[in-house]
Amino acid sequence: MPDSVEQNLQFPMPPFPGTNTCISLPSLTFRLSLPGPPFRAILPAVHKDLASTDPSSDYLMVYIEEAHATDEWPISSSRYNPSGEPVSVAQPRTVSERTAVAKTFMRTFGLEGEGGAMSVAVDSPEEGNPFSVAYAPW
Amino acid sequence: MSDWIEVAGEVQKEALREFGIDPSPAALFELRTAANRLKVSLYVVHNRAREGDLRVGSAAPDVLLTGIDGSAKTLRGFESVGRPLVVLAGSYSCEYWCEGKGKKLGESETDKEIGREETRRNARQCRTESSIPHASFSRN
Repeated sequence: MPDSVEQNLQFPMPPFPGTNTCISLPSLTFRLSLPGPPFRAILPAVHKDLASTDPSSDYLMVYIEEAHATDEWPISSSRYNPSGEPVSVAQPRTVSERTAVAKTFMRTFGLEGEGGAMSVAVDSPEEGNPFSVAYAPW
Repeated sequence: MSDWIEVAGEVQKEALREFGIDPSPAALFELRTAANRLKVSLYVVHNRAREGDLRVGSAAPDVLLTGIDGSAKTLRGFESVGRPLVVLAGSYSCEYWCEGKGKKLGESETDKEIGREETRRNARQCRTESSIPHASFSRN
């Protein structure tokens, strides 16, 4: 493990926003990429074109808070929604509600099956969204 | 006037005059920042974007997650010995505003390339940084 992950980066680290950040555990290094392309646009491409053709890596999707929930910050956008209809999702208040939305998302974008090319997990509202608290993914 | 921002500026001045306020730079500043300052805009109230506490070299915290099947998981539990782990976070209602507007995903080569290249770059860089397992993480 390098003493400083930053020393091993191949390009200068820009300031936030626009940050690529590596954080590390003794046996695990995370790269935070900000700002990346929003989720609905990139995930299927990653899933279909990368995850299934990159056997050297494992992939995990963490389903977090809705970006534009109908009861919070609605934008009524249909962009990149295969049905062509605006995405209409209220902010889930329970992990069961969020899991249901995540399943709809997976089904809509064809992310189910295919030998588990991408694992899926859900951040729990009841637990205070611990993933979002820890990693500030927005 | 040749730009929308000039038009907007004139509309704002006219609005101030209508309410008997001299459209001075200070008055215009108050008008333009009121929605954020008074926390009445949805962007301010519901935008969860924040810098976070993690920095380069920080220890990556393990967190509790729920599997899609309802089972209890941990982030580290998805790690396989000797294999990189690429982690992406997001939600259904997070869309995209790029030039591919109006096209379904998969029809836009721009989107596909952005998604592929960003993730490839992260995974590739993490591989170069260490021979141990790692994760790539893309924002909401």
